Amino acid sequence: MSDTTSAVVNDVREAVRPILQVENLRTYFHTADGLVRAVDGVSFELSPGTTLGIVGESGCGKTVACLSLLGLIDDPGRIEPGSVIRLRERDLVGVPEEELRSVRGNEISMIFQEPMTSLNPVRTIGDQVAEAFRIHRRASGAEARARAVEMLRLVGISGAERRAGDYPHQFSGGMRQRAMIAMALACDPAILIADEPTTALDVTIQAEILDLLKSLQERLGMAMIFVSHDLGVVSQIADRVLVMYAGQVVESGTAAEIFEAPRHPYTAGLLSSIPRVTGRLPRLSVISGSVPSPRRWPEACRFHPRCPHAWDRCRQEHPPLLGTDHPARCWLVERDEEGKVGEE
Amino acid sequence: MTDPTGRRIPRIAALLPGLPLLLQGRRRAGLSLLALGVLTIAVAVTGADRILAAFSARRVDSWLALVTLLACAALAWSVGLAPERFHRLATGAAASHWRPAWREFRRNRLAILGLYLLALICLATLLAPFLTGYGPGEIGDIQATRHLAPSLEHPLGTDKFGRDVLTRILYGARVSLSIGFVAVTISITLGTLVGAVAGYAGGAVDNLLMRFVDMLISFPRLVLLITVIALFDASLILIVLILGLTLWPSTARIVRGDVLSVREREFVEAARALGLSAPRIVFRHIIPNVMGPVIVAATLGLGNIILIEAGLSFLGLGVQPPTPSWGVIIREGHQFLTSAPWVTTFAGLAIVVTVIAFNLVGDGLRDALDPRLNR
Amino acid sequence: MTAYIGRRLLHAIPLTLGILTLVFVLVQLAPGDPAALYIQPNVAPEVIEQMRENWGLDQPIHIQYFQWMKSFVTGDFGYSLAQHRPVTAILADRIPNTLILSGTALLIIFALGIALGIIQAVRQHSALDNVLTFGSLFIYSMPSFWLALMLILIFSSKLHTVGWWPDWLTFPPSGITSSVGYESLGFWGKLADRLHHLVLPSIALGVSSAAAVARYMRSSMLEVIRQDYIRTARAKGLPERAVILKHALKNALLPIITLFGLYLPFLLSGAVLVETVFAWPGMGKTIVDAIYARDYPVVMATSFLFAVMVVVGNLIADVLYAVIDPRIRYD
Repeated sequence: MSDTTSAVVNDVREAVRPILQVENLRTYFHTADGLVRAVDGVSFELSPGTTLGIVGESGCGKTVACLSLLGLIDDPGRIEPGSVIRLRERDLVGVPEEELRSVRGNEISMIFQEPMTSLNPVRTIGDQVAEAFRIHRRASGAEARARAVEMLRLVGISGAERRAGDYPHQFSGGMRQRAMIAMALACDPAILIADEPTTALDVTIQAEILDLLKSLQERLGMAMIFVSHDLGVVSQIADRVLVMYAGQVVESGTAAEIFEAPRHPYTAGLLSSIPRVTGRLPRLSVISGSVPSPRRWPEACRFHPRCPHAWDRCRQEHPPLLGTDHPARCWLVERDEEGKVGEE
Repeated sequence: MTDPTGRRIPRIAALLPGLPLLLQGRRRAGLSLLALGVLTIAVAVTGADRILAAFSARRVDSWLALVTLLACAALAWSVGLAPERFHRLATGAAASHWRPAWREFRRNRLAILGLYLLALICLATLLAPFLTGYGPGEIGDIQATRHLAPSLEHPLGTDKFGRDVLTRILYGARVSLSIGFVAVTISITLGTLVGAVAGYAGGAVDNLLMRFVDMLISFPRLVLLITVIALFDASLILIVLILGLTLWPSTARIVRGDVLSVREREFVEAARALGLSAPRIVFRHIIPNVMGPVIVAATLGLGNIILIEAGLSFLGLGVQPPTPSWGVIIREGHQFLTSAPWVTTFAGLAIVVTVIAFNLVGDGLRDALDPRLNR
Repeated sequence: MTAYIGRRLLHAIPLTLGILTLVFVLVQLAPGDPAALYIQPNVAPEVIEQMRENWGLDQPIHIQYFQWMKSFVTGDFGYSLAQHRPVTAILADRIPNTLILSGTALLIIFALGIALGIIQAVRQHSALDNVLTFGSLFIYSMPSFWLALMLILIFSSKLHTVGWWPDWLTFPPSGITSSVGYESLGFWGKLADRLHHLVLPSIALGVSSAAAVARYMRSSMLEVIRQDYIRTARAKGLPERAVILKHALKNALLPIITLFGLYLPFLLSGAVLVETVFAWPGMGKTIVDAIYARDYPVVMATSFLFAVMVVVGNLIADVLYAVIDPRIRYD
């Protein structure tokens, strides 16, 4: 499975220019109790029609990073100057709210983890799906309603015409997430951000939603950012993968690279928690310790307190992303490249 | 005792209560104690002749004021001399599970302001005989002193009989506050009992009691009160009783809801498994766990009852003149609203300040005690 | 929804009968023979005789009870001892006045309370929020009758002496219409005169509850703004105005509607006092006057009708809730 994915990815990667470029994104919360560096220097590119997976434990900053892309950071949070979020040719950092609004739900859409609470309980599904279309396309009520029904049909809700008049509590969890997807795609966005869209769902429904997202991407051609704490789920859908830890990217590469040959001990740890048989992985069944607090990231390498391979340098020096094609934020990479490079 | 830099604080500083604490850097405790001490001294000095007279006068009023003044002095100087010992005593006495709530409460500045206001109001009314040179019902030369505007002699003016309004408001606080305290005690006790029984027993008992509560709550309070008072030709004591007996249903509702959830918790299961009797479980295990909301309801209820008593007395159905309650003062003043507005205005302000104080403390307590409410 | 409203009605009917029973019990519990309540020197013996017959006061208690229930349910509230006419006729005059005053006050309470609550929630922790929070605490702690007196003092007495103050911004201190010259006014003139008389009483009755509603609305709104679906609405690119008014408001209103039911008794208690201060001929003034005159049939009937108004108000609140919340509507 991963072999075919990687082949496709390589084709796509060389074909097109990125639609979204994020450079050194830093989102800090200036709270009364101190500075919270939730996202601390994240960079990546997203090409049209491809899927970028972002993986990490909860609290690593992946959700805040996604919300930053939409400018949905509330006080006391702030996207720090110097961060760049370039959508096509336009930098979205620091543009006025009104301009950001024309991007949200129009060029970049987002769906969330909790379909049960992400829909407004007192408004009909159809109404909520139609809303973005009405706002961004200045469509009439009838046009927007027609669009809503069309979208609901597209995401596989049977009897869409009739169900558009239903309220969220009449929908099951899976159907609500379908409705969320319909809502997000109503304006044909160039990018869809899916923040743990399947986490709250049953396993069978999870697979259905993943399939739906994949087929919709094929049909509509949007780029996708797929966020999950589950590397297994990400491996099914992503072309490239970012692994985040403590507000930073610790490893990035194609899904195949990350999956077959993780370079960062943290990635390896995440992988070993998926039931899967592979060759040589660092033995690390469970990552010991807990996610550090964003108020006080550990000094030097932020993973060193939990890392089984940590040595003196890890406690003294903060590693940059090392390596070119498949970089990882780990001193091991340097040591490996100096000595015996990988084992593949 | 040492100050923050480690120097020893001379014992002589303790002569002024709170000074050692201030030097130690504990500002709030120090200032409160200092204020109490200074207040006591000020009252003692300005009211010296009245205090001396109080010894010979055989009146409950004066004795009460005397005891209060002595208690203030005793508190200020004993705590001032040995704050550490007192602190240990106070924290030792407070049950440990109230401590987090108190810490939360202390951080709420408005709630603390309310607490100080209440303390001040209580002291003022208890010390009333020493604070003013007039009696609450004292009528001098009516022609000369009637409806005098506020002046140095009569800071809040005089009423239609030439009585000093400040004096009447100070004494009126006793009436209004004690009615409030007694009525709230009755209604909270009754409400807690009914609520706990209904919640714990469940089933038909619960249903019956709660339907009764629904009925009582459907009557506008004042309407129910005036109807009952009209039917029974109530005396003051009966009015207080009726106030208490008609205001319990809302407490019962709150308590019942909480008991329903507490009843399902493990320690109640455990108590039942141990074979404890139902009354014992209710009193020992359930009621203590719903005290938080009850205390909040009591504090907010006090403000409410003061408003209701004022309303009743204003209608002439509550406290009867010449006993001064705030409602009575307003009732007597409102006939001369335009010619002597100070009577009505200041009596009303006294109510407002008192009710604000109770509401501030009540809100603070709710934030500290009631985890269900978001801030 | 019909099933839901049916359930609420099934709850309200026994409640009303219970209230009626409670009033009956109160009369029975009152010291002395209940008939004695009505026997006063100024009441003609024929009237008392008629009452005995009507209410069966010489019958055994259970018969009396059923008589009483029957007459109240059919709207026969007996005969006023002070005014010498049927209680029903008196109340028919007075109820509309109370409804007008309370209705206007309710409008103030909810319009003002909800608007202020929204503003405070949207501008949480701003200077405006703090000022409004403290201001509403102050107003909320005021006795309504004292506020009424202060309004009279300022707006119908003191401001007359201020030269530049416009005349139409001073308000009459009592009554529902001008006592002199009202009849000679045209339709619009009459309406204006009535509205002019309505201003001070409805403010006195309304603002303190408005302050309370504002407090609840603020915290309800803050709670709703934190919800996931608000984030969804923002992620859709809606302007903040639309997020608040179209997505947050309806949800934040739900607990406020419950409040409507809870505040109604409070409002009507206030009406008793405010009507007395402003000599507003409504139910509140009626019951107070009746008590002064020891006119017990009127007292009983009025207090019963006050409770019925609360029950009906709660029913309205239940229906409103169902209209706004689809989860109940489709239950």
